[in-house]
Amino acid sequence: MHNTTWILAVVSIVLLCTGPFLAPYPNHIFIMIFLVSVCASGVWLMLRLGRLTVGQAAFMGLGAYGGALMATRLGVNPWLSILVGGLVAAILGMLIGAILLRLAGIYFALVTFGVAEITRVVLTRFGNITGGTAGLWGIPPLPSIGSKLGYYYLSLALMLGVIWLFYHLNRSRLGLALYSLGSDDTLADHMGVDPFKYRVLSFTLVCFFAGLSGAVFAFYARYITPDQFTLWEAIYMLIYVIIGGIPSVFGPFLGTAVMFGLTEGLRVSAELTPLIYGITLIAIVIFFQGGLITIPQMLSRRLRPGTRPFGFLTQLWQTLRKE
Amino acid sequence: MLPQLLLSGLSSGLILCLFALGLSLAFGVLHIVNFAHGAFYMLGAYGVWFGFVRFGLPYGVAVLLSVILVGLVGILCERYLFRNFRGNLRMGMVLAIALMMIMESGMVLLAGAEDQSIPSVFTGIVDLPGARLSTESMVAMAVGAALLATVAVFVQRSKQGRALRGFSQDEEGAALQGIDGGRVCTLTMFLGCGLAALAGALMGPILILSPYMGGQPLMLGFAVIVLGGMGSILGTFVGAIIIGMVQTLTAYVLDPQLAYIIVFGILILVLLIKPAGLFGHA
Repeated sequence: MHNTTWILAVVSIVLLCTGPFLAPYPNHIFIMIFLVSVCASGVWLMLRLGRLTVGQAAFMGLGAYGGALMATRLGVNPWLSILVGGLVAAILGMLIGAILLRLAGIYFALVTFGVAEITRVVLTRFGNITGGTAGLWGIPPLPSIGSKLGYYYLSLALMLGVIWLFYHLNRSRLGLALYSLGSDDTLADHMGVDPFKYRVLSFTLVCFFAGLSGAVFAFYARYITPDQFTLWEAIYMLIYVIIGGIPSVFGPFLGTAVMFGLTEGLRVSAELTPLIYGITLIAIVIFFQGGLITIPQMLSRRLRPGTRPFGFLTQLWQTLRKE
Repeated sequence: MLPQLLLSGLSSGLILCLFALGLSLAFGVLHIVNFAHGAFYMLGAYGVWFGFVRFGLPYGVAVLLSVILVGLVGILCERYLFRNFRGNLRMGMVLAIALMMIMESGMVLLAGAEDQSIPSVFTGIVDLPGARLSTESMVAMAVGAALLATVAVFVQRSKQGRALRGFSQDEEGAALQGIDGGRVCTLTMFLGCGLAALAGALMGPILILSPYMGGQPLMLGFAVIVLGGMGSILGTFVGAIIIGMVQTLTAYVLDPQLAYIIVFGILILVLLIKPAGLFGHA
């Protein structure tokens, strides 16, 4: 545990210090990683509670549109609008969750699929309010934040806040209660953890964060379209979580960073990104079912004195020779 | 106007049924929520495009080749990927999503991201009392209906079909009766993917081809199997006709985008009121 705290501290300090030295484009990528990973961590929490959601990008979109519409159409202060965006997503999340979270695992996943699609259609259709497919223009910048660097720190703060919260949740009694829902509903119920209530509460919280990050994105990009919050984005979030690793709180953040880094580093075109994602995903699911985050653990187990670190290779070689 | 709408609804329902049957079989027998099913549909349509337009094969041969090849791709996916994760619904679904992404992007590499089209083989319009439909749609409907009937008879009557149903009810019990589970899985995947490819091949000349064309039937297909009851063949048929009719009618009365909302509204309502669907068992 102490190790994790140290790593966390070092990573935050490095991120805080590198901010001013980044060129505009890497700066943009970092902001996207921070914001998207906040949403992905929501997918992660729901997975730990035994529910798979493929609609989280919709709540990011609802937050973005909620915040942006407050600021552009009603002239509310942008900072306040961000909060409103988060609340809009949270309230809708609570309503939807209260109706749909009773559904068992796979059905819930299919329905969130539907919710994401309905959100997109609604955002496109009510064009006189939302700007339709052409998108919503002229979102004011956040006052007193100035440059791109300001947005870097704002989204970094949001991500670190969420990490901090989930990290403490992980070690608290509440966290244990929540995770118990991932393994056995009936048992949890008998231990005094109401599955439905805790799931709705968590879903609300998770949607609030998705909404906040969406609203920050809206004021950062200053132009949003329904296409930025589609099913694809939601599926990508699920992929980040699985690649990063479900067992750990840091999985979704690691997964988002690695996949963004991979596609940006290789300069993959938008059409081929799914190809890279798909291949990586299959490789991870076959070779490291716990995700990237479990690799250090696995290495340390293999490198322990007295074990043969590459024993699996000799084994593989022997089976190959036999055939 | 009403007969016309009913006929269009029936025709889209039948094609949807071809598509959703594979989805339903994959769930009922293999326990896979097959997100890649739309991609198999897309492969089927592109298979015809490659065979018929690129290589100049006769239309019928192109369709047949495309269906068989896509079925084989399905078998490979099942044998080397899904089978390792049997019983793990979540991982199966993730694998299917990965496959969908790989197939769609792969097709962008292979055939380009721009839209393609297949020239019509059957031209003209059939006049019926009170309604008219293009010959193409009529042929698609007829072939679709004939194949659905064949598959239904196969699953209900043949020895292989009985093995398939037994396996889906109780895997251990089926194994004790000497049913080879691996063969059943291979057969199911071949049937399912082949049917999806056939739906794609039949719709190819009617629609515009794009690597992402599988998304729409995938969503409707999920709505169909949830409405009909996951894994039930009769349920899939009834569900597909209902969803096809509802979609056509709302698209005409309101507009195509709202039709989606209504279909998904039905899906959510069914799940809340009767989670097993119309013909499913708990």
